[in-house]
Amino acid sequence: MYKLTKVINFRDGTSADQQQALIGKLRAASQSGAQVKCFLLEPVSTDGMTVNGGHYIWHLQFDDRKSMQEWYRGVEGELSNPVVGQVESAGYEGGPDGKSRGEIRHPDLSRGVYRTLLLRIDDKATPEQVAAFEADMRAMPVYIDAIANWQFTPVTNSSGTRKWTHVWEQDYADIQGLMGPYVMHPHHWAQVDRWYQPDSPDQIVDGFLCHTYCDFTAGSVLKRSAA
Amino acid sequence: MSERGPIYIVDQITPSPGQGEAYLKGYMERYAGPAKERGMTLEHSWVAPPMWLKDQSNTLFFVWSVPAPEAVWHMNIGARANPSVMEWWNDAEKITESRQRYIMSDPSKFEAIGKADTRLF
Repeated sequence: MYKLTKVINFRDGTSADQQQALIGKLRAASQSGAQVKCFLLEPVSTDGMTVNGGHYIWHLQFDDRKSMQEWYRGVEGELSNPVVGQVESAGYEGGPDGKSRGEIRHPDLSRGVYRTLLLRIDDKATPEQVAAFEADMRAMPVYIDAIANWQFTPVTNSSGTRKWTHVWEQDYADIQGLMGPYVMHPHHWAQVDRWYQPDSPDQIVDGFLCHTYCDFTAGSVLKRSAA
Repeated sequence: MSERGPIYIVDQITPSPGQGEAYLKGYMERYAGPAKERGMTLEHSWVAPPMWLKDQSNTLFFVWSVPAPEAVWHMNIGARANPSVMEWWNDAEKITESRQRYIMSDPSKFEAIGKADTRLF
């Protein structure tokens, strides 16, 4: 399983009709691609709480990286469309494999909120720091029950504003789960955030990150990657 | 004060040998002032041992409080929005041997803090 996540920004000044025409093309390319095992193409929440969250999340899954590359050669021209502004992109191995990469804890979740975080670890971080950071991230679901399904993965193929190093994906039953129990859990703000915050001597995560989320109503892509 | 607070933020800093007094001066002038504007209250500033060492390192402790967990977020968001915060830490790095920050609370608050069902925004 290989995953590709793109956070798409529309260029300023483009019309809603132009934007929806583009989304229609991306949806058609996703549906018609024999290599695409499943996909999600949804508008990003407009609640104003995303950070560099873009306008659409486009997430696709393939058997492997080679299949993704074959498919992508046929559709990458669509992202040169003048409607498209900045695109943040990350490719990475997919599918939960137990607690080392991800878990499906609520397989029956058919609708909810899909959240993804693209982040970059500073080049100066030591392997020991990176390992400790990754361990903290993987421990979050141990403490935070609101995380319904999750995957935390190193990135193998990146483009955009940063050379992304990790993707942190989660499902929540609703937005309350994300903005309440997840954000407000002490493991989040008193343990994990030390890797992110400029006041912290442990900071290794670049201050520019993409924190974005959208509703899903036709099943979890995290669950489908486990099938 | 919220039943979920206060939350304490403790900086433990070992400046380079002989730099304790200079570090304290910089911290108070360049970090502590703006930090108060981010909702942080400086409860204690302690130096060990209680004298300035010349060829050895003092250890500095700064104990801050914020009234509740959401104030930790506001503290952090404020730090990201203010470039002078990173400028201070980058400059201070030159006279720092080591630095730790701990975020903590009285254990009697764990249950209230752990409910974590309040939306931040």
